[in-house]
Amino acid sequence: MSKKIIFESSEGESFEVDEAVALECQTIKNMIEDDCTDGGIPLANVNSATLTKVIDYCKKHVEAAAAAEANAGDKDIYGANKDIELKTWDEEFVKVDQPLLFDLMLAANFLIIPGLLDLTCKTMMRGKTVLQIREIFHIKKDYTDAEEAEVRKENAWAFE
Amino acid sequence: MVRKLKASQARPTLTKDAISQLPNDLTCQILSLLSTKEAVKTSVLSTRWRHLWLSLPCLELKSRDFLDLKNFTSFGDRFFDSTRVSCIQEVKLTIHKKDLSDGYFLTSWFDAAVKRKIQHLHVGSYSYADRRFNKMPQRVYNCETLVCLKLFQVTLSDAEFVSLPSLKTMHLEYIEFPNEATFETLVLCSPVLECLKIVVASDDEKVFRVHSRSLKRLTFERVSPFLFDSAGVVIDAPRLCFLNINDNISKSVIIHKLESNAVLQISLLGIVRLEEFDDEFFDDIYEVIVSSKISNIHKFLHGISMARSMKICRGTLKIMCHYSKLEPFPQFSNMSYLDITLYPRDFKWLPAFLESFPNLKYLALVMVCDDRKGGFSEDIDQVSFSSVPECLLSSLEFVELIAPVQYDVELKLVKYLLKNSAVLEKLILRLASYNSRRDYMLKKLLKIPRVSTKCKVVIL
Repeated sequence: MSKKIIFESSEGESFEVDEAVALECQTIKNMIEDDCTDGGIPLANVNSATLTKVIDYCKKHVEAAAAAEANAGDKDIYGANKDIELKTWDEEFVKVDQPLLFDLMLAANFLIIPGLLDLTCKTMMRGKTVLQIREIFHIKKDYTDAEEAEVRKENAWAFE
Repeated sequence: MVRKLKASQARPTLTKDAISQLPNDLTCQILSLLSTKEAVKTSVLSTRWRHLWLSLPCLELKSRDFLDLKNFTSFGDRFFDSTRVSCIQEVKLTIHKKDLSDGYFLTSWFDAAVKRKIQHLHVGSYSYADRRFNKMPQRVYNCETLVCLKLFQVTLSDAEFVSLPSLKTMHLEYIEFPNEATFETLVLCSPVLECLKIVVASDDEKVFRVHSRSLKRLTFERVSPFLFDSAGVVIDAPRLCFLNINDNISKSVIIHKLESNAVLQISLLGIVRLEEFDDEFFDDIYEVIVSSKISNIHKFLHGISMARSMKICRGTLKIMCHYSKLEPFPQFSNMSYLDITLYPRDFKWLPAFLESFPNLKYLALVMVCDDRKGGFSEDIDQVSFSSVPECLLSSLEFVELIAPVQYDVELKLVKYLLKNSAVLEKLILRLASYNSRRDYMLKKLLKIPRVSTKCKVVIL
C-alpha cells in the first residue's frame, strides 16, 4: 500500500491522499523530501472546497501520466487522443465560479502546481472584454475620461 | 439552511478587487497567457494596470495589425525598453509586405531583448516576390541566453563575430545570406545547437556547409526549378541522428560519416538533374550522368551507411540502383527499416538492391502509378524475380505494400515475398479500392503459398 499524506484545510478538515498525488505539488514534494510531513500538513490559506478541487486535479493528472506511460508503446496511435481527453477534462475542471477559480489559482501558486497555475491563470481573463473584466474583478476605474482616452490612443491597435 | 438559500439565489462572485492586489509576478503570468492584444488591452482597466503589460515576458506582434509602420515601431519602441529589468522570454515578430523597411527599428529592439535575456526569437517578413527583406541587425549573432532562433524571409548581415552559447534550435527559411561564410559561421559558433532546419531560397546558388559537433536533427530543403552548377551541400555532423534532406538543386552533396542508428529521409535529385531532362526515356544517358558523379555518390552512400532507418524517394532509388551497376554498393548492416517509393517497373531492381540491407526487419514499398507510360505495362509484367537477398531469408519480419492494383507484377511481387521470406510475420497490403482488378487479385492472393508458417496477411 502506498504512503498517505494528510492535508488539513483552513477549516481544520483532514484530507488523506496518496503520496504520488501530493507529489504533484512542488511545495509538498520539498516537504516530503525534508521529511516534515508527519502529523499532517496544515494549509491555513486553502479552504476545503478549494482543496477538494486541487486534490481532484492532482489525482487526474497522476492517473493520466500513469496511463500515458503504460501506453507509451502505442503513443502514435493513442497518445494524441489521451492528450485531447485530458485537455477536455481540464477545460471542464475550470468551469467554476470566479471566487473558486481565484482561490484555485492562489492555491496552485502557493503549492506550486505549474499545470494548474497555468490553467487557472489562462482561464482568469481570457476572452473577456475590458468591461467584463472590470465587473468580474471589481476593478475600479481611476482614470479620468481624458486619461483613458490617452491610454486607448497609445495602444490603439489593440482596441481596434 | 441559510447557506443553501444564498447559493441558489446567485452564483458567488468576488467581493473585492483581489486581482489588483496580486503580486506582480502572478499578474504577469496571467497576462502572459493572454494574447498580446488582450494583454495590452488591460492597460485601460486602471492606473495600476496601465504599464503592467510592458513587463510581459512574451510578445507577439504583427505589423499588419497596426495602422502603419510608424505606429508599429513606436509601439515596439515602448516595449523594447532596455532600461526595464524584467526578462523577455519570447518575441515573435511578423512584418508584412506594406511595412517593409530596412528593419532599422530592429537594432534597438534586439539590443533591449538581448540585454533582457531573450530566449526565443522568431522574425518573419512576408514580402512575396520583390525580395526587399528586412535586414537583421548583427546584434542577433551575440546573445548568451538565446535558445531558439527562427527566421523567415529576412536578410542576414555578414556574420563576423558570432556567439550563441545557448542556442539549441535554429530555423532559417528563405533567408538571404550575404555570403557562404555567414551560414557556416552561424552553425559553427553555436556549440550546443541540436536542431537545425534550413529552407533555401529558390534563387540561392551557394554551398551550404553544416559543421557541427552537437547537431542531432537536421532538415535541409532546397527545391526549385532552377539549376545552378555551383550549388552544393556539405554535412559534417557526427552526432546527427535524424536527417531529412530534400534537394533537387545541389550538384554536390557530401555527407561525412553519420552517427550509427541515424534515421534518414532522403530525396536527392540535384546530383543528376539536367535541365528539362526526362530521365524516363533515356536510361543509357542517365547511366552516363551517374557515372560522371560516381565519386560524389560513393562518398554520400558511405556517409549514411551506418543508418538505422531510411526513407527514399523514387529518384533516389534510381540513382542508387544505377550506381550499384557501376560500383559495389555499400552494406547497410545497421538498417532495420526501409521505406521506398517506386514505380511498378522499378521492381526489377528490388532483389539486387535489398542485398545491401542484410539485417532489414521492416520494408515499406509505396508503389505509385506511372501514368506517363501506358505502353510500358507489358514490359513491366515480364519482370521476373530471380535472386533472393539475405534479409528475406533471415531478418525481414514486416512488409507493407501500398499498391495501385493495376499490374500483374504487383501480384508477382507479393508471391515472391511470401515464397521467400522465411521469417515474415506480417504482410500488410494496402490496395487501391476503386479498382476492378481488386477482387481478382484478392482471389489469387489467398492461394499463394507462404514459406513462413507464422505469416499473417492483412489486406486493407
